[in-house]
Amino acid sequence: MPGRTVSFHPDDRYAAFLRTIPEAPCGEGRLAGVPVAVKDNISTAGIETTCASKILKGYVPPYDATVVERLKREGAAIVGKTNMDEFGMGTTTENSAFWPTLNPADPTRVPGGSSGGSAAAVAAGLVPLALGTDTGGSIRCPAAFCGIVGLKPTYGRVSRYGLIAYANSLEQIGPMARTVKDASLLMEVIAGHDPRDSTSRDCPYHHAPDPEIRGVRIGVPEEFFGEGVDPRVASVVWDAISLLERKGAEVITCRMPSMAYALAAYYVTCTSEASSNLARFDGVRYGPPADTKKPWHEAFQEQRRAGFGEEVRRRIMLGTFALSSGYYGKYYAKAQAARNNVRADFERLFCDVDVLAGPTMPTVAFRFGEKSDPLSMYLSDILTVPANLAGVPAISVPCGKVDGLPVGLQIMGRWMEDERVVDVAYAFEQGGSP
Amino acid sequence: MACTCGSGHSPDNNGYKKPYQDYLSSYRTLEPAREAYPGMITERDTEHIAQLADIAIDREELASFTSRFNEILEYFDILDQVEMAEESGEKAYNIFREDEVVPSLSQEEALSNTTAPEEGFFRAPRVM
Repeated sequence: MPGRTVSFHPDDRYAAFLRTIPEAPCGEGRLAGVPVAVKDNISTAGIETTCASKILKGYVPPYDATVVERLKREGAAIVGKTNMDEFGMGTTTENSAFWPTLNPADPTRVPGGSSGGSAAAVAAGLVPLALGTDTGGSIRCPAAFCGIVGLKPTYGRVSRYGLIAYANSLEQIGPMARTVKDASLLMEVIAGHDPRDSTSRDCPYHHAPDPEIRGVRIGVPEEFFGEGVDPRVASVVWDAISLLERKGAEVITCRMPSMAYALAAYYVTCTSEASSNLARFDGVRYGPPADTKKPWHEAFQEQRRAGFGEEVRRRIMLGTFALSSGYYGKYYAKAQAARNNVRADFERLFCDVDVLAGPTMPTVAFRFGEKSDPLSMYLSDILTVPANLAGVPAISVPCGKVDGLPVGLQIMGRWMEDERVVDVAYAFEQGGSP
Repeated sequence: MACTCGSGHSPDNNGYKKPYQDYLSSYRTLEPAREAYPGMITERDTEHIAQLADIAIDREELASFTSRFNEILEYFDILDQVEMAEESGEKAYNIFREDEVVPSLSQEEALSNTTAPEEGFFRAPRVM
């Protein structure tokens, strides 16, 4: 029996999609017939999934990720796969092996990354909802740069089964939408326990956003407004925090000393995990085939030189170095100690405050090519990586503009208190955008 | 045997030999290249790391990869300031489940993305 479909022929002038489904099947449920875009590192049965990498060109997953199953169960139409930095490695979507995505707020600027395609598709109005993934800010950064809402859930709250792994201990799939309410609805659909992901927690999300925030204690670590944060961005975010205060929240300034080495801890950890995870791309089971006449290492090395972009090769090599004999103690072990300090800082602060607030990104969206050297691109993740290191929930909600470009307010909450960060973001949104 | 980069990075010989050390040291041995960039990694180190990571690297790329690595590693030096705690605050534990047979991919589905399967198996480059 032929089922219902949604026709999808978008004017994709910002190059948000890698591929679209012109007649996308849909069903009944809370998302009946709603077009949803899915980032290209999330497995979709029968739909090519490449992580925006040449090494997975032509790969058609034989199964759906759990989040995709859940979307389909609620009737959603998967209308396309969105562009991203290759394997999620980047902050601009310029590292896609195929093409860059443009920022709908200003097409001379990047949309942020790595979920830049998902953010641009939502911001351009092509879809109301999209899935992104966030390893060190990859949902929140493009949400902030494009002027939409993006939630990185608590680690374990959304199944990673079917997410093509980059850094398992850090990443989560999460919702991106134009409003907090829509993001919350998508979260409701994708969250929940999955026995196929051993890090999945049995903590479903059933929540109607509540804008009442009287008495909520909001901590503002001074490090969130430290060196590198554009003063104009800082000023817009402070105005947003003041609005929350006027709505009855209590604002408390505090310190988060572990921010000093959070970024280094993050990059050592994610590159180390990537060096192991990306070893599976050997041209044997998927992707362009390796030359089986050549010896293993030779075939494997050539396959990976041709298939991976420069940033992916750099991160695999950095991770290999950080884990190598003689350097493990200096890099990986120290990074884990630093990660514990970040967790401890959050735990300490969350004794006295309910959420933490600050800018999502230190600046507005970059121009294309502006962050050509890798270290300066890494440094722009400083405000988003702490939530991934600690596994706590964090949301970015649009809070104003600088020179016509969107600025995001970031709210981080206690472990498993995704509902509260959603409520604070909702209170801000209801309070009237400038 | 630690990586022979001859740099100022302090090796971590915690008094035990990692099981793969013999393999790594026999895999490829480089002469220490001390004079080029004291305290930093050299182009030969970059080649060695690429070899360990099984990623081919072109001669022309070596200089730029090496200088980028050094910039990044210099930034990572901030981790030297982190005190190692006696006991990790993280309470990691194994999550087990019963090993029950459940529906999974068919052999055909599992092979669906390989271009040249052979008698129901994946074909791989020769190992020996």
